[in-house]
Amino acid sequence: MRALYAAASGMSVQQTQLETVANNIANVGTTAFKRNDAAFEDLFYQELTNGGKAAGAPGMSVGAGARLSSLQKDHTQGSMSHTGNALHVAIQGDGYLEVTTPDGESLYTRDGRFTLDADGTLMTAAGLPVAGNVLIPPDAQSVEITADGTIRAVLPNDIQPTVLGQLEVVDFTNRGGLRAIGGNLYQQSPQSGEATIVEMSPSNSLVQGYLEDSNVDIASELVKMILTQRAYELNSKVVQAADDTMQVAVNLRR
Amino acid sequence: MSRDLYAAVAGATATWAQMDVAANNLANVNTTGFRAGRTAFRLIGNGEGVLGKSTPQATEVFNSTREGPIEQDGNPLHFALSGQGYFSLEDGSLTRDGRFTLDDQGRLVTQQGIAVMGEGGPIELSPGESLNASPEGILTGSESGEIDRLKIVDANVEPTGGNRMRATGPTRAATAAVHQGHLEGSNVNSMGVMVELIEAGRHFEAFQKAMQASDDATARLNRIGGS
Repeated sequence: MRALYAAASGMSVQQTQLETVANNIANVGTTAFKRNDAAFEDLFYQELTNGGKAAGAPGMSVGAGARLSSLQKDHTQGSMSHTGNALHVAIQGDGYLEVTTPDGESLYTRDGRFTLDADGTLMTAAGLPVAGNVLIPPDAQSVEITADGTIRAVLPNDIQPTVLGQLEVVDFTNRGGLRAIGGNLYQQSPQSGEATIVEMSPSNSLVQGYLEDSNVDIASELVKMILTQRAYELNSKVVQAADDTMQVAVNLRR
Repeated sequence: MSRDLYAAVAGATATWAQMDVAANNLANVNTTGFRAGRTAFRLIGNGEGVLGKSTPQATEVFNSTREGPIEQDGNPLHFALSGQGYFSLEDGSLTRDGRFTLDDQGRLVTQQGIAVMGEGGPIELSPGESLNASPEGILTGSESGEIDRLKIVDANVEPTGGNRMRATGPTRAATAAVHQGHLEGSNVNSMGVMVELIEAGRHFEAFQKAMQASDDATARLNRIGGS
């Protein structure tokens, strides 16, 4: 009986949706988190009969249910929170900051919660150095990150600030194709295309002392959760209806 | 064996098929651009349409063309259609699912990776540019200017899975308007489907009773020649 399997596929789809919503809600406080968006599609169709249909009318094609078609990140911008920390930086507009793993691989992030190690190397909260080998001596005063990513600081015994490095913002043709690997980090993939440097402009700039919030909207996630739960329930009722019908068929033999 | 027994069996089989279609509808209550199927029944046999000489069969599934709810999500690569019409894809199929994205070459593609067609072929964007669509489907890029117009056609269709449909006849000019930043939800009316399921369950029971009654009658007939 197809109805049973179709309903089971519907329940599993709703389960995936609920898991996605749960993960989004769990990350409502994660800096620069991008919400996940699950998309679904119908499964294949089977032609049951060809006899007796009117000319030109569609056939008796019965679908087999639904499945997950994609699970993509929604890369829209989150709101900005002021932290006042000179080493915190948020991207206003498109793009990602590049960080380097210990084995030399480039990863990308929008989480600009940076800090310094003992030598003064600029790195993420997880300890990955920011690309460009930016060194800020521990005794440097009034560190400034400008809108175009230039890092300046006043060194001891100086009056004028010295340029210490440059933050570069890169972007991808298909941001949805970036692979999220956790820890607010993204990895380039064949689907994302190559990283290209973004020209900084007033509408696309770096903001010092701010962090980007998660772009999860709690209200819409909760509405989605209610709808998902109901849809799960509906599909479970179909399983029950199919089972009841089979029981009637079984009871034919008295 | 009597004819009425077979009529009841055919009715039960048709009802079974109706439940399969209803189950598929409910499984796709969250599928973007999904069109609910509706089972049509027909009397088949000698003297078609004459009761007693023909049996009922589920012969067709019609897809409802009622619009699903259009919801805003703000993604500039998501499109919804209002009115009759379908987006054309590179593989020749049609879809109402406007949840598009870009591939590594900057082409506008579906979630399954099939290129979306404009009047002049697949639609390609320059890296990093933003897209703007008019209600007529004219696409303008922030850097390349006017790119193309979305190819939207209307036709009688049948679903093939993967949110795609196949035209079963000639295509016509479409009247649909394009809404950027919106998606069309599934047009499944879950309450209607639940009622259909309850109804189908009761019909099935009725057919079962008819089969048992037919069996009783045959049993009685068999006893006439007996003791």
